[in-house]
Amino acid sequence: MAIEAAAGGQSAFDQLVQEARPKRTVAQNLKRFARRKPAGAISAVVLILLALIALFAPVIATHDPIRDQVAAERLEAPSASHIMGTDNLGRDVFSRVIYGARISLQVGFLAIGLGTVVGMVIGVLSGYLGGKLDLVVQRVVDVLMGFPFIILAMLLVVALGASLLNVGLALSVAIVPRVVRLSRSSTLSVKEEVYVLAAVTIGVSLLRMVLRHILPNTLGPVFVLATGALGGVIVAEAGLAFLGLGIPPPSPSWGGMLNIGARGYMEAAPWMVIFPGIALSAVVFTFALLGDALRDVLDPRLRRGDS
Amino acid sequence: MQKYIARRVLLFIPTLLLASVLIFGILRVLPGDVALAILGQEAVEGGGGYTETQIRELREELGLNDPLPIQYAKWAWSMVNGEFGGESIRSTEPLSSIIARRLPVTLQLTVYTVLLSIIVAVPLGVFSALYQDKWPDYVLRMGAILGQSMPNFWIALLLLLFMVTQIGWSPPLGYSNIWVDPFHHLQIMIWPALILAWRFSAYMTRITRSGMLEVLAQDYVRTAKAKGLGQQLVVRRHSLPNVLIPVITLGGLEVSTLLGGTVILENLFGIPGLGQAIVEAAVGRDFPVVQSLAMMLVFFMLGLNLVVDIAYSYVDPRVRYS
Repeated sequence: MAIEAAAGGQSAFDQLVQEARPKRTVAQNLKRFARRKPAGAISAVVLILLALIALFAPVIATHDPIRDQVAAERLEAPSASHIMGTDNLGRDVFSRVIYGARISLQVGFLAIGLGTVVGMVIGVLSGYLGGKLDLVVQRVVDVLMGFPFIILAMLLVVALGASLLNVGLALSVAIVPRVVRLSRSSTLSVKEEVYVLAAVTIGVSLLRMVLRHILPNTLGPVFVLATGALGGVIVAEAGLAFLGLGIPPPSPSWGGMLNIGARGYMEAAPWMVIFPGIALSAVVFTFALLGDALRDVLDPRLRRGDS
Repeated sequence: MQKYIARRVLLFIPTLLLASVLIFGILRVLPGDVALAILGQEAVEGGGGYTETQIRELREELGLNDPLPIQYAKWAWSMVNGEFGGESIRSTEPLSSIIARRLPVTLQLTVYTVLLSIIVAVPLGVFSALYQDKWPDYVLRMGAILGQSMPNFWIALLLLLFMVTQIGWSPPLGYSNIWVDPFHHLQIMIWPALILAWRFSAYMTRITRSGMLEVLAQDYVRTAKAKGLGQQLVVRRHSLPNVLIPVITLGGLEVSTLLGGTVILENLFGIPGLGQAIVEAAVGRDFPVVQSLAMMLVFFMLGLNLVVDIAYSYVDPRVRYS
């Protein structure tokens, strides 16, 4: 109860802090970000557009990505009715690319969301509690980091079977060790702070300690890692699909489309490999730009002199 | 020094054991019956179904009726005694022969990539450092970003597409051994090596550049310039040797990340290495092959890291004492 009162009441100290550091609204923060990191802001806008495209895929797509198969219109070059041409089954490539954004984003956010949450819980606990738990966790993390990303994902997909959910799960497992390592190291540095000691002194519970005092201070770097890794996860999903180990065929995954296109249709229908590839590269590129910009803004070690 | 090496090598054994337990665990403990998965895959391919007896026979053949610890111990021992987990259930080729045939190919591809990267990256990194924040520096950084954001299999597809439509030439389909027909061998291997080297050299260029910048600010470089040495000599004799050590060791650590790209490109170019084998096995649900090859790949990755760590401790004494 005493803690609640202390946290809720406005002390003189809090007021001092507020005066020293002007509070900005979300809009002001966004404006600042846009001014300092134009590339990052542009990529953020592009990604919002992408999310909208994925959300409104049925409205934007001109055809059904799976069912609209017209035998007479196989391997047609781009034209007014099929702006990105048609594939080997007479399906509209444009519509499939649009629906492909859905798959990429779904897998990407599933893998990153799950991987980040699980990784942070393990990393923070391992760093905060230390001892034997920490030792065991660190060994496992070291070993998992020794697995090539795609091999680990491949093993899991083989074991679980390929579906959108399982591919997302498999890639999240590949993300976890990276998040664990990062959130553990920030936990270790936060752990030594005086305010943690103060919290221990007044008898804060483990749950409250982790949620209120430790976790918020590890969020920044993990968020940067997650944004940067999203691009990597999307490529990995495409890579698995390209190898025939991803989300199974009728689904319009960009990697799967490249796989079909590469199998004998490259000369006859180059648009089958060009357009999904452009979509894939553009998405990865924008996530990389956004990740870089966020790192500059959120990583205190890189923030020199500006407040 | 010896103590440090001994400690690292001893630590390597539990690491390998843990890796093998993880691989085994992923493939065996996760929900899903190995025998059913194999028969299901065969039924999908061949049409028709499978019977209870078939399942039982396959389970017996794969040793799936043993308790898990025994299954694990048998497999782990076979990785040590050279059987590498028996044979493929598809081609019935022994795993020892699969590995002996395919491992050199993957190693060759890796060596080509690393050589190409060093040849390109070291001069570019030096150049970039000498022209820090001028336009050559920017051009190089843009090229690096481009190489990092285009998935390598798409670059490969575009390259093949360009060659087929514009030049009317494409790499030969069949692979040949370098000792049998080196020219034919290189015609296939050069393309994936180039594509992998694009990304890898971007990384190496970055390390060379930052290392060079650090060294160029040193007193002894200023002294060398002060006594009238030309830039060429300053760079070649006084700066570069000091930069190469971190470049080679950091590069060595990064080589392990090449493996992921190798797996995909081997498949695309039809190069019979470990990467192609493990993907074929994964698609065909050939569990013994997937399991043992995954272990081999992880073994090489961890082993390479170990060797680089030890090499680094020779060069940089600070590592030994931390």
